[in-house]
Amino acid sequence: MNDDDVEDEPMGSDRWAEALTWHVTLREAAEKDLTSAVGREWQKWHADPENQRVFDDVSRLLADRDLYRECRRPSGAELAADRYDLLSPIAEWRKVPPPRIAAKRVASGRYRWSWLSGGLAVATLATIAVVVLRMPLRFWSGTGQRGSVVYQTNVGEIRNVHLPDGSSIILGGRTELSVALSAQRRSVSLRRGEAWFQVAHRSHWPFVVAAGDGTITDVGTAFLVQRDSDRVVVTVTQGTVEIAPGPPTWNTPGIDQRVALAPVLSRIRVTQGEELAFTDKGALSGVKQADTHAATTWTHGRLTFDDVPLRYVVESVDRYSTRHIAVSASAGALRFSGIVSDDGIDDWLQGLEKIFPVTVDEREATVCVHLRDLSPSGGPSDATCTTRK
Amino acid sequence: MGAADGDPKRQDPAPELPGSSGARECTSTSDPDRPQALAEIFRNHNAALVRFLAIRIGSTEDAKELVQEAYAKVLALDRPETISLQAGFLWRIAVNLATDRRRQRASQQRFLSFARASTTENGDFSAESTCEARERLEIVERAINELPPRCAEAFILHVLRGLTFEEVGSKMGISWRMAIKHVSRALEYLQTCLDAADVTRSAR
Repeated sequence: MNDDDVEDEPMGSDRWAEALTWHVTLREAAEKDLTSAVGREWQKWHADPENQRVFDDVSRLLADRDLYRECRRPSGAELAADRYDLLSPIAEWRKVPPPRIAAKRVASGRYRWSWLSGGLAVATLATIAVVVLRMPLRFWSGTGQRGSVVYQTNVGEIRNVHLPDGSSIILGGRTELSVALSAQRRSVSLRRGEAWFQVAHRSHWPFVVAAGDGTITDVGTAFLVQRDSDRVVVTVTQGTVEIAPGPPTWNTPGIDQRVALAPVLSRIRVTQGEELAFTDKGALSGVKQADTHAATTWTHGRLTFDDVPLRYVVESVDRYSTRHIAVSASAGALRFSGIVSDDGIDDWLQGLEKIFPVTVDEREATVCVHLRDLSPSGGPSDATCTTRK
Repeated sequence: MGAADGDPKRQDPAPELPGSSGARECTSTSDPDRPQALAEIFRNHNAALVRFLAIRIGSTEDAKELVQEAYAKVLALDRPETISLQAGFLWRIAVNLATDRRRQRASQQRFLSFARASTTENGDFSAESTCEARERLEIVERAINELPPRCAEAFILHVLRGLTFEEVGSKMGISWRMAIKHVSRALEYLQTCLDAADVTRSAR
């Protein structure tokens, strides 16, 4: 045990999370788990007076629980409207009202809220989204009024969404998708990130996911879709899906091109335990065997990779990282296998320098991974990180 | 227990050693360095052990008593062990004593359960006077209402409903680490509000 061990504790520099973790450990751990090593770690953590102060605050607040027994639990609508990202203390966050995502949402106007009058506060929009979701299905399939509901997650957030048709979606970190239920189909558009769909089977009501340059049609099943910057990976964990290349067609008003084009588009069937990737340039990987367990570990905060180009690895990890991570084109071609835990990203970045000929440095808010400059003259270096947005 | 001494000594990094004077007397006896080394270990570990035991058995007073007992037991060991081993012993003994005390408590509780409602079990950390308690309550309630909803949800599920972090996490669709993060951010905010109102500090 050296002094660095404390730094390696989960939560890094967050004293409050550490204090709470210690509080629960000391209070609840089984006798056999309170080894001498734990005692030494506790002694070491406790040696910091500021840690002691925070620990006593935590103890006092937790002991006070009888005092605030009457507190009201937030409603589902309030939970859905929450935009706090945990990155800074709540008191600081409250002083800076417009969080990044909210600002973007209002400014870009690329969300289909056309059926609402503009200018509503974001929180109100999200509240409405939930209210709408809870309404009976006929609202959705009703008078041709097509509302789509946008779901998005913050960095590191994993969220479970239940749809009114009985299907559910688990969204990974920094993921955005919209759901529109119409009489013809249940359509989802995955704009970025990754999601695991558990579809309630309805034989005459297809569940169609559009991602990148293709659509995935479900036949009553569970599957994952990962939208990287330039490709889509579909992994089927249960049942069968059909994947059709080409853009989704339901966005075109009036004509349902999908029906017209269906005969000429080749559909690829992917079944349980298989995976298929297609790129935005139209290239398809063959259907190959997938490790479905590894593909779903992100729902527990662990990202598993097996021989994946570093640029896709970085894209995935970036969805769980408080700092933006980017990779240069040449370093992005290196292939990585291993597990990255959502609370061990800094360690992983450090480790990259050991297993690959790369340098990891921080420029402003971005962590850049690029090939180590080996030429003594400092010739053309590989220092350009492609920042994706 | 009075209002003044019931409070954990928050600003004091090295709380006074209960029985430290006794430890020093030991060093003046004919026995060589060992008691002195032990007193040193004790000085270094005392506050950490007291905090640990206070959390584990729910009373700072009892915790201080148990630390004394643990120290006495280490002194009673007649093998001359290395310093690090003695520190380890001290910890092991404290853990064992805490377990015994919890068992004792549990059996007492069975007989005294009806009386429990009128006593404050965690008396050391709960507010001392009803007046201060009411003020704290008001601030904390307001602060909880101001929490981001997901933090409030995690806080209520864990602190009031007694769910474990795994359970909170699965209920909210996040990992247990993120559940800890949510609750700790909530606690941090509550304390910030209390500090701002200066209730806790001025009462000390």
